[in-house]
Amino acid sequence: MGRAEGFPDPLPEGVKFSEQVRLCLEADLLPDGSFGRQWLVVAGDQVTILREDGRTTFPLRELKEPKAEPVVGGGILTAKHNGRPVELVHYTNSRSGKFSEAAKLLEKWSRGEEAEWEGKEEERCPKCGFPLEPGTKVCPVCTPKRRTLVRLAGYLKPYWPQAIGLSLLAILNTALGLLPPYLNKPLMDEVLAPKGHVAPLRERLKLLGILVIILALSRVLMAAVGAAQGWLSAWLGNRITHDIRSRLYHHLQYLSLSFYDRRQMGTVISRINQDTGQLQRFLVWSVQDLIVDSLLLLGIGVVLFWMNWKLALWVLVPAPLVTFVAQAFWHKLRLYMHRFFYRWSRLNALLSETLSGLKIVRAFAQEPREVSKFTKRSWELAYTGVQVERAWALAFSGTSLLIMLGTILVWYVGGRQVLFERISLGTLMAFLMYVGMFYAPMRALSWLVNWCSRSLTAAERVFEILDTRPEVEDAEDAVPMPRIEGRIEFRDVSFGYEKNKPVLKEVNLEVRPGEMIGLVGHSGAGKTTTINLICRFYDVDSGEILVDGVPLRKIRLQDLRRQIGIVPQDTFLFSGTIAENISYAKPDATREEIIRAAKIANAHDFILRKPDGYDTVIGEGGQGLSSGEKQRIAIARAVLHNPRILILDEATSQVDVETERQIQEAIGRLVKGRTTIAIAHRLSTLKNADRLVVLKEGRVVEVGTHDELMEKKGEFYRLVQTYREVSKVRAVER
Amino acid sequence: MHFWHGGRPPGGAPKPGPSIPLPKELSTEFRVLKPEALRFFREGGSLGLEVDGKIYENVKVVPLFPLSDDEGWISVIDEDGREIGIVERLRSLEPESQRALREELRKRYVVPRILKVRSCREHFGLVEWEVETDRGPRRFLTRNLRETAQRMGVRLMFSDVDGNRYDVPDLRALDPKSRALIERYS
Ligand SMILES: Nc1ncnc2c1ncn2[C@@H]1O[C@H](COP(=O)(O)OP(=O)(O)OP(=O)(O)O)[C@@H](O)[C@H]1O
Ligand SMILES: [Mg+2]
Repeated sequence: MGRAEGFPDPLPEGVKFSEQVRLCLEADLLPDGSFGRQWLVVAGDQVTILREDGRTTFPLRELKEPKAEPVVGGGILTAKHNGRPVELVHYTNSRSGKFSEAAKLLEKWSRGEEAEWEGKEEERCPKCGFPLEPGTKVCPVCTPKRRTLVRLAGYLKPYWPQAIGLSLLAILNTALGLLPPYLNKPLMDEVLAPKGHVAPLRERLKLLGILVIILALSRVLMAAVGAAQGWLSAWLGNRITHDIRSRLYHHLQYLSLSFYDRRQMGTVISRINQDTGQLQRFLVWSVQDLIVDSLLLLGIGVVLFWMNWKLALWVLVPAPLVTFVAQAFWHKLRLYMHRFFYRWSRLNALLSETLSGLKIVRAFAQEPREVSKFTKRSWELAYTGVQVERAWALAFSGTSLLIMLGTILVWYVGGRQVLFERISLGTLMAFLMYVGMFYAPMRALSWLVNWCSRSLTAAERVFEILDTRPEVEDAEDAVPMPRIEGRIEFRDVSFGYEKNKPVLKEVNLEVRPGEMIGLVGHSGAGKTTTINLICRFYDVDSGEILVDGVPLRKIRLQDLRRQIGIVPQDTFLFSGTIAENISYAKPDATREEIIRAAKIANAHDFILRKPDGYDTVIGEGGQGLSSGEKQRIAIARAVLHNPRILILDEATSQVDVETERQIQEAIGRLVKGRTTIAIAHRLSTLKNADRLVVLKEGRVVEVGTHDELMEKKGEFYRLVQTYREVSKVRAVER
Repeated sequence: MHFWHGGRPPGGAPKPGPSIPLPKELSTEFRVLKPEALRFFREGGSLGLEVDGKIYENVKVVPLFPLSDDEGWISVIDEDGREIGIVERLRSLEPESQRALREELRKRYVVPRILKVRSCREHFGLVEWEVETDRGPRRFLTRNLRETAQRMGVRLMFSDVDGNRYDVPDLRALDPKSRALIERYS
């Protein structure tokens, strides 16, 4: 196939190669580290680095060990030429995916192998340019934006009768509100200060009575409607917010762990709290204010023009000014409010952090520093709070002044008209009252419009989470697996938490059903990562993991997780009783089962001595228990789960050797017929293992039984030697 | 009504007592390379180091405090990944070494510093930035900064959609327009 213009990136304009171009990649850094364009071109069997001002060429065969070496913020494609390292091209993270693929390709080509560019076609949203997940077409950023209002309205759907009721109430309320000022006209012109024909006093008294009754009735009715309206809208708004909040929480439970790796927990929490809170205020208050104010504005406007359109025109004079001033202040206000919220959440974060780390603070006598840190942040918050209020106050008085301008104009112009008897006194009075009512919704609206746009942003942020697809998701053709035998296979598995920084590299491993595997290696070698992949907390970058011969991606997650029991390295217990924690994965466990699990984990004896036994309440994160006790509860929890695959990540690292031996014996009985993967630094922990797997810097370097590996005198032998020496020293010291 | 104007909060916090310095003997593994006995040189695509007459080829350098002190405390690592030692101050080296080391650091730690924000456009929930950095002009996309930005005092760091990080060492030092643009989106 001839791809003359270059692949996957186009060749720069006007550049030609006489031989066929097999690969062309554009890099975005120059050799000196500044931004600029360079191209890596493979044409025929020549590798060319093309710069704006020249080119360097190497014969493909002479480039040995091409590597995409990661650096902070990007990478360098390096190779050995005549035994000397050369840096071919430099690039930022934007291009590093492509260059690591290119490195693999160069490696194969330089060995004379046939290979094709397999890099995933990196797709970007055609509209906004956001990089899309491979295989998806829906952009998570721009697609949902335009539909926010529609979606919000969608949440209203189940409650449409209430929503319609609410709208009717709003209209009624507005109409009622328009009545009282109008009563001014008959009050003045017929009762108090009639001109021309004057009715007898009794009739005027009677009319006064009627007017008072109408006024009183309308006020009572308005109060009732207002109350009903407030209640109904609160009901509706809270329902909808509750719906959204629950959806959000539900979704958060299923999002992949890498979603959380990338974010601070604090910002996720603030999304749930702040954004749904804002949404609630918006739905409960702003929406109905928006409706009522618009109706009011319209209604009053119509009445004013109907009463006297010439005078009404004067009323409109300050209107554009009010809107303008409100807009101008809005920008400042938004900045301050944003700062205020930001500082508020920072203060909260500090508070929760120091309170949970109180022990450390005390231990290192850092109370004064923590106090002053808090004081400082609290002060910043107070200061911003004042800024916000000041901006509000200024904006408010500014607009009030402008509004008064309108009233002043009407006084003067209208007063003259009354004096020249062009309109009646009653008309002016009623008019003035309407004018007073006219500006309030106008001012409110100019704020509300902005406020709504803010709330819509909050809604967008919430929807953004709702639209984030769980990265680890059941495939459409996922198969149920009611009973897993326990065969686990790793085939060329590579994985990194951050792209292009592989933690596991081409791992191959086969675990037989019922086998106990000991995973050993230095800290940071990738042991926990390996089991994270088995549990499918993360998906592999390349290669495949199979359980019972079925690719992990094809197994229903529920089935997989239900049959894996894990005792994680850092024990996490929920606040609740000990029994609740043990039966976390099996809430319907009987007392007997709980006790049996505790016995296997060797936890029974210490639980016995707790004042409330199995009903002892432990605090958040397992406060009130020793580390070893927490670990044993975690073991009991995994045991009660009765898994087909048991994973013990440093499960007994915090208990003494004797207790460990007892737990091992119990687990030994338990694990018969179950696949077990155990990780331990204390190598004696793994003496029951059928086979040991040694990991080093993300690669499997040795596999075999304990004796085989000792004989081989390789990596494991060295580990054992150091371990022995250290234990000997310890023994002497004792 | 009072208007506060920043400054110190009322009633300062008590100061903790002086701390006891760490005894020097404790830090046996810690080798600070003496600038006099040190020479960095470039050799083809890689960096070499000569210490006390001993030559290391293909050394890697890692800034240990890239944000708070980008020209100090630089760890030098040999081909096998062992630390040879630490350069305490880049400026104390002779000019030739300084140049070689600086060049290498710039390649190994690609976090552009933003000097000026030319423009900033929001569309469909992404912000498109056009900035001037210490590595030249750059155009990139970010999501709303509120999510990704890290604030450390006056410093602000944020990432674009590809995971590249950008550094604003001191927000106050930017020109008012750039600052306003950044503050609008963060
Ligand atoms: N969530 C994460 N995000 C980014 N990097 C990670 C993450 N978790 C682990 N790493 C990195 O991956 C590498 C392997 O970590 P892993 O937890 O698998 O080590 P380990 O072999 O279990 O070590 P240990 O014996 O100390 O538990 C480490 O370099 C670690 O820094
Ligand atoms: Mg681990």
